[in-house]
Amino acid sequence: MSCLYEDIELNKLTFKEDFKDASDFLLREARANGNKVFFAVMDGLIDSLQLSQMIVEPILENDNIFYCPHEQMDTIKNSVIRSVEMNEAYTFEDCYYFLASGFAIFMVDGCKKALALGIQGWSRRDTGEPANEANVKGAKECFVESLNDNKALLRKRLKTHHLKQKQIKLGEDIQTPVAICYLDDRAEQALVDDVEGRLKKADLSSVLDYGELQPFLDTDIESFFSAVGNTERPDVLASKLLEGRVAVMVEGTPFVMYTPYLFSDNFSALDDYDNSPIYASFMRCLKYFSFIMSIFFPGLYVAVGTYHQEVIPTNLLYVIATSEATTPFSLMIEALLIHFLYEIMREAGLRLPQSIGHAVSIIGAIVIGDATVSAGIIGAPMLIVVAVTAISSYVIYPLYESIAVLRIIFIIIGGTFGLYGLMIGIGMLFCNICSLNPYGVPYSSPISPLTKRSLLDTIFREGWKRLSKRKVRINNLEGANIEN
Amino acid sequence: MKTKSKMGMIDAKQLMLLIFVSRVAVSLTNIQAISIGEFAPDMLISVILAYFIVLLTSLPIVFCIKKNRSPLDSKWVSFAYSIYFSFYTAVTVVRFSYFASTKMNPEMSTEVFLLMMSLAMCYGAYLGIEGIARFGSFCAVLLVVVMVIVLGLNINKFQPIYFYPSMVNTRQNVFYNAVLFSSNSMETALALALSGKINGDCTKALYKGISMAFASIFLLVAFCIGVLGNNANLQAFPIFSLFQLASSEVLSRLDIIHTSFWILGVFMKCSLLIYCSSLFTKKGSNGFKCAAFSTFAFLLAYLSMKLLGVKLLSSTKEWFIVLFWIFVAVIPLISLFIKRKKPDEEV
Repeated sequence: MSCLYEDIELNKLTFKEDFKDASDFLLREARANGNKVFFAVMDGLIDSLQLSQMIVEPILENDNIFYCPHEQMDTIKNSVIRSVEMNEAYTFEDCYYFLASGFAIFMVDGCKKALALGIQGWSRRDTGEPANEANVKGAKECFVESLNDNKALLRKRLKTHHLKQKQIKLGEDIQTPVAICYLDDRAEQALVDDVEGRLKKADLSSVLDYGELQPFLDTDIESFFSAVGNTERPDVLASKLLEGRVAVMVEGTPFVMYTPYLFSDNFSALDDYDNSPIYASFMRCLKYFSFIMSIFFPGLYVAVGTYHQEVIPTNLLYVIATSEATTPFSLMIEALLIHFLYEIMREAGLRLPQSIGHAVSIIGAIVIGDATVSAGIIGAPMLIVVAVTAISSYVIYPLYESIAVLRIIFIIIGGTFGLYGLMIGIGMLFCNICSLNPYGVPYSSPISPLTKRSLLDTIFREGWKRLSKRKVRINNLEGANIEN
Repeated sequence: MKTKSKMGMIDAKQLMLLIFVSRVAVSLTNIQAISIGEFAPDMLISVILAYFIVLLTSLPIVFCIKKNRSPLDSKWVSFAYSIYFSFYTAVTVVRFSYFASTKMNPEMSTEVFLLMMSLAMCYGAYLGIEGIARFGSFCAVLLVVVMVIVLGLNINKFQPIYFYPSMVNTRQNVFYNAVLFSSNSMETALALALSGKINGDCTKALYKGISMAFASIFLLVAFCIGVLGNNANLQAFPIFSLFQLASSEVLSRLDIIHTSFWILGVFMKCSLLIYCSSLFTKKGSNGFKCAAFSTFAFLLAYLSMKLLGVKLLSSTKEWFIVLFWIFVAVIPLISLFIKRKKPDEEV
């Protein structure tokens, strides 16, 4: 860390040298109260009107007489500048960090410190409806790429002084602001310290996205499931913080991470709380069923079709046998083939521009849906299985990545070892889920260990009259032990 | 008041469910070749007698837990228990692999099933007691659901006439079967091994778990007799035959689905046994210990299968009884009378 010089010329030279060939770096020299001063900003990150009206004009028009530069700096800081957000910087690194964050740097000759004045004014994305967490009845507001905006959105939801948004900088080379958000009267201090400790221990040269920090916050046990959740909805995050969880916001990403994230969190959506309890409970049950379907159904179909045909009712077995008799591949190969094709098309549809994406869908539907069956390469029942599975997996979208891989694994297990292998595989998977203990809270909670009052909002969703009395906190769950 | 949970420990309720699942899971593979005499109504008397034998033999272990005088404090005794648990794992795996290769998937050899279960239980044990216990709770619910469905679908086939005559086997055989059934209930030894890992009253959980398990087994055996009648004698796996008869209009063969859920229970039991085996060895990492004991159990199962084949299950039943009495009753009883100096005790 190199400290600022007293000599403004040296400071100016260092700035100019460090920002050589940086066309967006602007430095304006001036004389204020008979002393040399300069302003430095990054073009595009600041609001020019604010710079001139709140900072440059008041300083240059000020006609006080000062006997020393420190007095000049203090007076400007306390009574001349009209900017609300104000920091003092003593090193070049701090100055550069503020510059890149949309601050104006002001320096006076003879002073070893600079003033960083917040006048951010870059172009911002609208906090419109979230793209990945759409809902029917809830708020249409989402987080954006700016950390400050995200903090404000959260503050707007949680109007309490208990909301803490501690900001730290992460990354060795490129420092990225990261905010740890929690409600100090609800979250365990040990949990907050643990999260902060893990973030600080993250050995990264730069943090460009939240995904880079996620593994550092996750559990140590290798699993297909993550104990760190993410959301782009302020209302969802607010509800999670109210349960005593801790959130991590990263500058430059609209997704906010929160932890501990439990398995049952995958199955709840904001709409559940706006819909009637009966319908919401029905949807919850449907989601759990879809999860089971999307992971195990193709594997089960392959296992039963290959080894345990006696389980299938005779009429259905006849239909399947007729369809499969003409295909050249075994059920397992068919299932793998069609799943790979489906994943390829999904990925292609996702990355391509929207107009071409539609074309991919049409080609996919024609090629897979019609041609392969007509040509006798794939059996029609298998196509139905894959289609049902694919749609089921979209019902619980947060788990899609895990499901896509697990499905393939269970097809292989089912096709090789039959139901016995499939059930052992299921046992191992569920045992793995049950063994996760993010921050001392059982991942499978509140289902196992069973927390009765939390069940009101897990598989079923009780009415608000009962839900409001349950007072569930993450640290009150059965088996939870949040300690460092 | 809620007991504050500790990391690496489980709730007493979870222990209860572990014991329940562990005992009930092996009932599916209870084969005719092991018991003596006919599968007749007096089998129910054997089950009741077995229950009381288990309760009686569990007393030394209960006192050991209450008085904090565990025989497992001794290095050699704990090692012997580790071997016992591994041996029991091997027998359970062999039983289930034999069952799977004959009834579930005849196209696959027993050795493949043996290997699969060994790998799975090694992983399960590696994940630790918290994971096993939470998974055990799921299994308990599933097993209860399966039992309710099986019994419910068989209720219209239940014939009270099959319970007459009520005594077919000799008194000696009834008692021998009771001893044999009880020797399958080594869960008391498991409770002793896990006593240091329980938040709450371990002994209550033990009794509740055993009672629940025996009540379920009683029901299953009663339905076997009431539904199968004399045909039960002809079945290698009578309880599985009961499962086969449970059918609905839509699905005629529900037994595969029921049995599939049962496999989860067996997997949980084997993982728990390997976990308990590795619990007393100080040297080596957790993963290494689980792998070592799983390999040992696999080799034991594989070799015994190769050497004895199908006879293994019937020829080891005396061993079962002897080992059960040694590890569940005799050793804990001796440790109650021998006052040993604990390492942390002042001279």
